[in-house]
Amino acid sequence: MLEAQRMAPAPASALFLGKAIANMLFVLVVEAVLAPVFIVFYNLHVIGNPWLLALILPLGTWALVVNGTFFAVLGLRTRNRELLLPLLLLPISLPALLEMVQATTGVLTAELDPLQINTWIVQLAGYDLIFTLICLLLFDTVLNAE
Amino acid sequence: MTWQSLFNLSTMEHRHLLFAYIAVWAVQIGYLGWVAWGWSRTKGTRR
Amino acid sequence: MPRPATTRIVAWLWFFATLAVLAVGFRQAIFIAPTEATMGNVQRIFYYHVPSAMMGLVFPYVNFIASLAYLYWRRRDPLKALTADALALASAEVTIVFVSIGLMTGMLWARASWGIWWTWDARLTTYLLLWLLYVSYLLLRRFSSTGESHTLAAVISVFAAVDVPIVFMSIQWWRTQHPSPVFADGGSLDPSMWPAFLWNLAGWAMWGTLIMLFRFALERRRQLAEQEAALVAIEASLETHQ
Repeated sequence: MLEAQRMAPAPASALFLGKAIANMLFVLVVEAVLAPVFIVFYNLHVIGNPWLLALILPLGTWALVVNGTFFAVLGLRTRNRELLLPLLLLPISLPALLEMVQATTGVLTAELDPLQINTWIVQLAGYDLIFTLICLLLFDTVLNAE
Repeated sequence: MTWQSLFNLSTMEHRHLLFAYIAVWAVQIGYLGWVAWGWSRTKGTRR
Repeated sequence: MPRPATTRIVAWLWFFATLAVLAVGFRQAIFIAPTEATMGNVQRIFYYHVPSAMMGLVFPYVNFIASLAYLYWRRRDPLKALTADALALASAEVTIVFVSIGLMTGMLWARASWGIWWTWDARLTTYLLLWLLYVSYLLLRRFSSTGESHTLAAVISVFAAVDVPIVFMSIQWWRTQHPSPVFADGGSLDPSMWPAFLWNLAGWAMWGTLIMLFRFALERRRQLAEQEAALVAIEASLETHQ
C-alpha cells in the first residue's frame, strides 16, 4: 500500500500531512468521547481557565500524532517495528508529554500561575512547529529510502 | 589514596569507586576487543 | 591518502600514547588528587565519569554530521555516501559506549554519595534518552534490509540531534536536582583537582577518537570486502554467459 501511495503524483509532504491529519481526526474523536468520561469518573473540577484546555488538547494531540505517524512509516519495512516504534517515540515525545502534562495540571489545579502555564503552552506549540517541520522535510527521504 | 585503600572493600564508597573504575575499563577494553575480533575476521582487500 | 603502512604506525603510536596519558590520568585521579572534603574518596569517580559523559555528548554530533553527509551524497556520490555511513555507524557505537559508561559510573557515584541510584532531573533524563535513541539507531540498522537501513538510520540521527537539546531544555526549565554544574561559573572545581581532570579528559578523548577510527576502518574494510565479493560474483556470472 505504501508503494501505491508512493506512485501518487502528490509530493511526499502532502502525503505525510494527509496521513497525519487523518490520524489526528481519529484521535480527536476518541478524545471527545473520553474527556467527559474522565471528568465524570475522576470528579474533575477545572479550577483554572477551562478554555486553555481547548488549546492544550489539540496541541498535545498533534505532537504525539505527528511523530507517531512519521515513525510508523519509518519502521514499516523493518523487522522489529513493534519494538522500535515505542523505543523511538518515548525519547522523542518526552518533552511534549512533559509540557502538556504540566500545562494541563496547571489549568486543572490552578497551582501554577498563568505565566507559567502560558510558557508551557508556548513550549508545546514550539515543539509542534519544530517537529512538524522536520517530519515534513524528512518524509520524502523515508519514502524513498532505498 | 594508596593501593591498599583502593582495594579496601569495607565501605560502599570504596566498593563503588573500585567498581566504577573496573566497569569503565571493562567496557572500553571489551569494545576494543570486539572491534579487533571483527578486524581479524574480515579479509583485507588489496588496495 | 597515506599508505596503509603509515596509517598502521600512526595508529599504534596513538594507541600507546593514549595508554600513557590514561595511566598518568589514573595515577593523578587515585593517588595525587586530594580527597574531597564532603564526599570522600568516592568523589574520585568524577575523574572518569565526567570525561566519559562529555565524550558521550560529542560523538552523537559526529554521527549527526556524518548522517547529514550520507543523506546529501546518497544520490550524488554513492561512494562518498558509503564512507559517511561507515563513520556514522562507528560514531554511533562509540556514543553508546561512552553514554553507557557515563550512566553506570554516575549511578555508582550517586548511590554511594547521595543514597539514590537515579533521579529524573534534566541532565540524567536527557542522557538516558540519548542512550535510548542511539540504541534504537543501532537496532534499526540491524533489523532493516540493507539499502534502506542506512537512510532510515540517518533520519533517526537527525531526530536525535534535534530532540536531545529540546529534552534537556524542557526538563531543565521544570526542575533540577543534579549538583550544580561544576564548570558553570568557571571555577567551582578546586585548582588542585584540575590536573587529574584534564589528564583524564585528554586520555579518554584520545581513546574515543582511537576506537571510533578503528571501528570506522573495520566498517570500511567490510564494505570493501563486500564490494569485491559482489564484483567477483558479477564477473563470474559474465563468464558463464559467454
